[in-house]
Amino acid sequence: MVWEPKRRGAIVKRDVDDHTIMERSLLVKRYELELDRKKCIGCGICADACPKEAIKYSPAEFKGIRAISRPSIDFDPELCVLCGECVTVCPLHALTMRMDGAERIPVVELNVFAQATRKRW
Amino acid sequence: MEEPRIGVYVCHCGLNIAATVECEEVAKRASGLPNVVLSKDYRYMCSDPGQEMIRKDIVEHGLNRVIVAACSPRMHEQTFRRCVASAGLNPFLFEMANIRELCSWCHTHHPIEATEKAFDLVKMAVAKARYLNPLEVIKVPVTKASLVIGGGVAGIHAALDLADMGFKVYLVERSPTIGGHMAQLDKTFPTLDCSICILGPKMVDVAQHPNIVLLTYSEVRRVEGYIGNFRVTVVRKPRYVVERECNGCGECAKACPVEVPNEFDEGLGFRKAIYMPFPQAVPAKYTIDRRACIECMGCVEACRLQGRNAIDLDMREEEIQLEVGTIIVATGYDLYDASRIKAYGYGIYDNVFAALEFERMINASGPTMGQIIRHSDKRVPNSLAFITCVGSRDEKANIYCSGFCCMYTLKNALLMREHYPNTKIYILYMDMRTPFKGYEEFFRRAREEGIIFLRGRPTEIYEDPKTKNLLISMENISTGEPMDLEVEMVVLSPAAVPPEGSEELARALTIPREMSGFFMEAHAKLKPIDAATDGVFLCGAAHGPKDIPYSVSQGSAAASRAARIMARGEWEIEPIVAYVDPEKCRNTKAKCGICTTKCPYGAITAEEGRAAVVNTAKCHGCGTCAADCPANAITQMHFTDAQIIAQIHAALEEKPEEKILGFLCNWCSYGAADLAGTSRFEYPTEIRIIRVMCSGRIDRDFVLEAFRKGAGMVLVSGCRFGDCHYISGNYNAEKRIKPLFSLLPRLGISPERLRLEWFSAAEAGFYVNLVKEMSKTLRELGTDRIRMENEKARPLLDRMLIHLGGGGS
Repeated sequence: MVWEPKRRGAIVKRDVDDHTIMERSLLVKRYELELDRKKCIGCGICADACPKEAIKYSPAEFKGIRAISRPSIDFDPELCVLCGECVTVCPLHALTMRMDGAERIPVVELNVFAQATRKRW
Repeated sequence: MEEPRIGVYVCHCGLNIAATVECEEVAKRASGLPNVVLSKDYRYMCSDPGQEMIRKDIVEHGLNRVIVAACSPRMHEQTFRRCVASAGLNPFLFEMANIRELCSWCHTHHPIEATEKAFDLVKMAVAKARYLNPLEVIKVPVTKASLVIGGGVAGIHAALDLADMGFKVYLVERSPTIGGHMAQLDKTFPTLDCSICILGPKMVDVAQHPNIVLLTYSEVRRVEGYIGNFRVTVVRKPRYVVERECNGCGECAKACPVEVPNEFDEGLGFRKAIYMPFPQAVPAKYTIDRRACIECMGCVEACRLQGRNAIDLDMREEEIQLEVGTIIVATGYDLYDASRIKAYGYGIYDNVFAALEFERMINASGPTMGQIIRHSDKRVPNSLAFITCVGSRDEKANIYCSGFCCMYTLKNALLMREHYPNTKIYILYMDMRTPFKGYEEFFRRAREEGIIFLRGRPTEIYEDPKTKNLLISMENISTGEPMDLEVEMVVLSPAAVPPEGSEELARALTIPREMSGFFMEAHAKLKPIDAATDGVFLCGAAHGPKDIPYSVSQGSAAASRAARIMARGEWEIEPIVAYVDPEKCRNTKAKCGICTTKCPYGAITAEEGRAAVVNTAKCHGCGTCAADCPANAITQMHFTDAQIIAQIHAALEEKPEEKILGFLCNWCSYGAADLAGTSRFEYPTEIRIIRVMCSGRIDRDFVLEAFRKGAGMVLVSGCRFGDCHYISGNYNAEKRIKPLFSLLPRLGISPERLRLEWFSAAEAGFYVNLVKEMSKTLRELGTDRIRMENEKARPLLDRMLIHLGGGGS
């Protein structure tokens, strides 16, 4: 356990098995963004779409011609605002956004998308 | 200059002085001093007949210098200055000898030595008086507008009072709304009034007042100028919503997809990226938090649908210039970050909360609609413990008492009792401090309502990983037994601490802060509202933790202090300023400019090839530049080199090797010496004190001259670091005096004969012990050895101090 105090309302990132979970637990509401690393192939579309540049894309690493790691993505909890933009663009449905346990995507509900996404598509 | 005709008046102060000091003898001996034409003693010099006597003598005997040997100049200098002025004499031709606080009160059991010392002090005053020059007060025009920094309850009241008096007020607040911490509270003690219900109307008054310009989401960046004529640069942060256009309808927030923790709710609830902190916010305008915005333009479209176009994402930071005559600082406080006390587990355990979070929870318009719930299972706790003194009265955090925490803890406990009668409520306290009107009654009420008070400071809090209950281990001081207490929720009462940015603001305004970080007033008793910089005033928690009524009264007090300056239209400045002799200034020939770097107020400018110039209105009269000028071209009026050297000579005229010469700064060390007197602490009589405004004025030459004249020991002292009333004077003094410790042995003088000490005006005990120590050292060294050392050092010192002239050596 990390013995570092967290700011009230800060996003906490944790890894459970093959899942990376970004959680913001407010007293009155809980937000979760979950990445299923088994489904993710590391295409990086979400990283391009993220309006806060909170997703870091790492390409595959090679040793000679042998790939030693798959391409992958990672979240920056300091930058993420849990808007759900990445969830809408993921072609493999590897991302899930939940609010108080129920699957909900804020940008879809309000039918607004970040300018960055609009320009690309 | 006309020949000085000095009148000396020795005051008995009833028996305060006369019981120890032979006043008649002192007066008789003083009549033999050079230029003294008249010497009298009288029971009470400050009384009407006493003052009348001075006035009459000035006219009849043609006196042109007046000396009163009585109490501290910090007490009655102004009184006697007015007295001599009313007789037509320039007030700066008056000098005071402090024979009460510095002599009779602290040497009660040594009347012979005390009388000797009193005479020395009179002699020093006479010596200085011979070099006194008439000075004219400096008059500056005053802009009839005021800047209030901080829109909390103190700032709001200061602004409203000034605006009602007819002055223009700029109220600058860095968050998007005014209201401060009071707007966050649920109820106020001890009356349990709804906080926002009583504050809200005041906030609206501010927004609607024709004399108030409200600048929210803005910060003070630069302050230039001086009393009556400040030029302030304010930065308006972009809120990306045009204030004129926004009508606060809130359609934009409905369209915003981003939810982030709301600072106003202490992070318990959420807000959108475009937000108004709370419904009663003033101004009722939205703000976009660009750190959270994803630029979806949902708000822009929503605003257009309302037929408006208030959102402008291209808005830029804007600087505006304000011209004001006075500045009121009402920057308030922050709460101490309780997570810094690891043992309490704040930020780690789910069910440990801080007081403001509790306030937001129990507030009916808060995120939980007034419900108190645990974070772990969203259930109302069956037991709850409040812990006071979190980060206050604690050596490891802040040593001061934060003042209002006891009361807000009691209030929160009573609210909890009212909302949830079945919850068991504990208050773990060190002491209950409830000194003001109605507060003790409130404490009694809390006890009667069945709240359990346990005395002691918890040592550690543990969390039960299953139930998420909290186990508090503490020593119950009432029984002396260690105990464990299991509760379902803990609410900490953190100390109030100076808000972020205080340091930058202190620098911009050139006002000092205390060790605690809160701003320091000019005088703890008699100028509690004034800051050390003229024309700047403090109110509310900016000056130290305060509750609401105290902050409101200080806000109004600051308004009246500021109005006192602005109502007149012009202001007089004490002429104890620095003056550069253009003939002597080196900057004409070479690039020097040392004085410009030493001046803490940026009052000196030295253009290349020209002599340095002091802006008298900006100069505060610390004298640091005068002491550091390599060409001795700078003089501080009323504390000139000639005057101080004359005092040194007078003090060391007889038996110098048996004396300690002290240079004390007016604000701290002289204050401590005064306090030692008023506290009737006894200490050895050897010390003779020369008062300067700041330790920064103490020239190396003064110390060396004292040794040349044979002084047994020399003390240089000033305020503690960080407490200097002239910001950095004591740092400069240290830089200047410290090298002497290595120089003195080379001259053959024992370095222990010089002491450099820093203490505050409250540390009379420190001062007394210091004098005792020095007196002991003096005796251990012995007069013979000191005399021998002095003999050896004299030829060298004579050569080093040739620029001071013979001075009668």
